[in-house]
Amino acid sequence: MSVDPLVLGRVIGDVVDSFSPSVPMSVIFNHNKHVYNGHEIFPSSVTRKPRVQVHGGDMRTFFTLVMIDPDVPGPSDPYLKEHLHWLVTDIPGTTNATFGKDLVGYEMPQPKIGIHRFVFLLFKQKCRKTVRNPPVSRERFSTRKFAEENELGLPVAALFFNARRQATARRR
Amino acid sequence: MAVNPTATMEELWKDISPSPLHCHDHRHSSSSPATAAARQDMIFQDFLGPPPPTSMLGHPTGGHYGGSNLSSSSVVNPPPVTILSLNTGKEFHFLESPSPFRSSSISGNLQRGGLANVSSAPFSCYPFESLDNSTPALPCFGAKKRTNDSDTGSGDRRHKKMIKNRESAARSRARKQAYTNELELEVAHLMEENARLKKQQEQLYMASAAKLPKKNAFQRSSTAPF
Repeated sequence: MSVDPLVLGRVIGDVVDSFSPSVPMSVIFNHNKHVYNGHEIFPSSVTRKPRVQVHGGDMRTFFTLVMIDPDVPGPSDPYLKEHLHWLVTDIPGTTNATFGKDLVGYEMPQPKIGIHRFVFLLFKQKCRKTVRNPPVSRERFSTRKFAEENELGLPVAALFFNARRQATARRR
Repeated sequence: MAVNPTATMEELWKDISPSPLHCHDHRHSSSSPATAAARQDMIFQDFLGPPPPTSMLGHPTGGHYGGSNLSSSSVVNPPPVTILSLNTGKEFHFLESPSPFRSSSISGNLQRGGLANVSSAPFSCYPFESLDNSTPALPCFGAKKRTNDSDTGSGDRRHKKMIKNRESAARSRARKQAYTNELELEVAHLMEENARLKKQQEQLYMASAAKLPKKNAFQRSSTAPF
């Protein structure tokens, strides 16, 4: 019996508590790069925001998407965790993130030290405009705290990929 | 100057006052390392000073390799003089493995170029630097004679590094496992979807096939009135 990749990758544990995914979600970079849990993607492939599709809910339910990096500045000593890369609210069910509101714009991953996880989390809002105040800073973000403050509860979906500093072309 | 077995390392080093590559004076001195090298009684390590910068700062001749009072007679006996033999060897046994390597490659260079071969200086410094970084228990000469703090400090450092490496390895294993599990899940999901789509396709085909015979059957149509 194989363990959930979210548990193995310590997304459940480091970022959020254990939850049951109830709304399928897909994250696709550049039209063809699907995000699969624990798979590695080049930073050059994730320079622009992906297409995040919510495969559930209905047009009257609203979702919040959070993208964070829990491994800043490096996975062995992430004393700056977490770093907020993207925050979209009021995404209507069955649609994608472009239908929501970017409270914090997409910032491309730029891992400096080690191999980082980049986590997408989807929360179901109680109603529209639940998240009123955008976080003041991307630094030292806490997904748990954010969810608590905005009464979002546990996530309904999560996806993560790995990325490391892209090797620059070197003259040999 | 006789080598006193009970002398501390610092004293020994002061006595030796090593004078490697940039002091050309030594060539003229009879007790210089240059002649010693020519006699092949000494190896290159003898020319290297105490580990910079600690010992060098306290060196009586200033911050550079200097002094010409190298008494080669006492130092070179018994040949070959290495750091190992300068002391009783209990302090420097850890140098045993690297030093033969270096002496073989460097002393040959010395014999060719003499002490004034400054170009070998970077080469000589480098192995020690890399040693310093990679093996905390094996720094430059005389380091073992430093205070106990550095001993326990290096032990701690090693321990911490080991822990860090273990964690890194555990993360790596977890990553690998998560990747594999996700692949398996995806495969199962895709196979399921594939089966479902095939079934759906067949059903649609059957539905359309059920309609076709009726369509292809000849039907009576009204003939022309004429």
